[in-house]
Amino acid sequence: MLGPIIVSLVGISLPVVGGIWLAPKQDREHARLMLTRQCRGYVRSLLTAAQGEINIRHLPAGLGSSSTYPTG
Amino acid sequence: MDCPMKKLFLSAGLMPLLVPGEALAHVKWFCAYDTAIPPLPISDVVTSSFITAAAGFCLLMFVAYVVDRAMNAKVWAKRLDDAVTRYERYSDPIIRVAVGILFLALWSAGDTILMPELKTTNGLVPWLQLAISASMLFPATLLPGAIGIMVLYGYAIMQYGAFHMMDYPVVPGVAIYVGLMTFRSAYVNTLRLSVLYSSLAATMMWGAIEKFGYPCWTLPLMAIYPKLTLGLGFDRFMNVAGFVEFSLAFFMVTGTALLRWSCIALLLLLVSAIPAFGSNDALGHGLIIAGLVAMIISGQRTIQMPAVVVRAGILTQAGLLTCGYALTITAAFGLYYSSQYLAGR
Repeated sequence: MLGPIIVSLVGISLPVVGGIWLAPKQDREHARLMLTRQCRGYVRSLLTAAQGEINIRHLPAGLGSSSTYPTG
Repeated sequence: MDCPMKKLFLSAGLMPLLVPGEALAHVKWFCAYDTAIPPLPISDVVTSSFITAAAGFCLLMFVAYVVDRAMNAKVWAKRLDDAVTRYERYSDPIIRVAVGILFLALWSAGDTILMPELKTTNGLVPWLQLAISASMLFPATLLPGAIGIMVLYGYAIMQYGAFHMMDYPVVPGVAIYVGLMTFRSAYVNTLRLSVLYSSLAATMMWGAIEKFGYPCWTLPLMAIYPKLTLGLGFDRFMNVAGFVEFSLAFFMVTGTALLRWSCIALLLLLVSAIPAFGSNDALGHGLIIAGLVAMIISGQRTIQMPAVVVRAGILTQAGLLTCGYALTITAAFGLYYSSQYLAGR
């Protein structure tokens, strides 16, 4: 089972590793920074949304309707 | 260097790009195969015919690199590069159109996952293919489209095994290219092009090693199309075919001025196979052909060799790259045989 998983990962990562290795160093570095920033922003927005969801679930009964939804 | 010597070097350097007539068709689309059977033992692959071909192609590659690097220093080569690279912005639409048409054709076929031999009876697959095709229409849907391609690739791994799908690194390569199209940045543009380059080269190299490892798969094809052997014996033809494919693929990611010619040579080989082998061949090679067109437009600027190679003189560069070529073939054999061992079903 482990063998096919390793081979699949190698197959998928071949173009990525090759591409990163082939790309000019400056472009590679800039692209890494940009993609990291975008991914962090995406994860942060997901966490914020999840946090909002958790806050609503823990509100006392009757609260959390559209009129009392915390907007802050 | 005097003029006759220059002409001699130029002719010899262009030879690997002009090796004629070996129309490339992927054997699994037309002949019976079994990836569970181990490939030929290395001792049976490395015959005297193989060693002769290997030595000949190493020499040809060395001369090709000398010519390539010498031409790259010329003003006219830079002007030509500038003139063609100006159209780089068309690479994205070319890939999007190719992916859109390919997945529309796959949806229409109704029983094919990604490549002609990957059959399925799953009713959801054609609808996912139609969705992927439609996703190429709008920039906002490119990322889901890319994820869809990866889902199909994963499904094909589950159905046909990891070793079988190692034939097609171009599929994840194109998916990553399409996914990265959503980022509007020149740096990401360069990165995604280099991913596309490496995926195409890896696909061609894998196909070349397969010719050495499983030459018997091609026998039925040669029986139907004996003209393809160009009068060479079967063993010699398979060795030459494998080295031509591998050399062109390696040159695609290490060449400079002649990089585009290497891509054009491969493109001609692939396109010349379509009339003989029909729609299956066109379907299977669609992504590779589109990728090669994108490479012909974008040229050498999206790749960079290590500093030790770039700083060296022409002859040293040629020597280093030829050593790299020999090492890459050895590594590709190692990867191919170990993958079959690990994932052989």
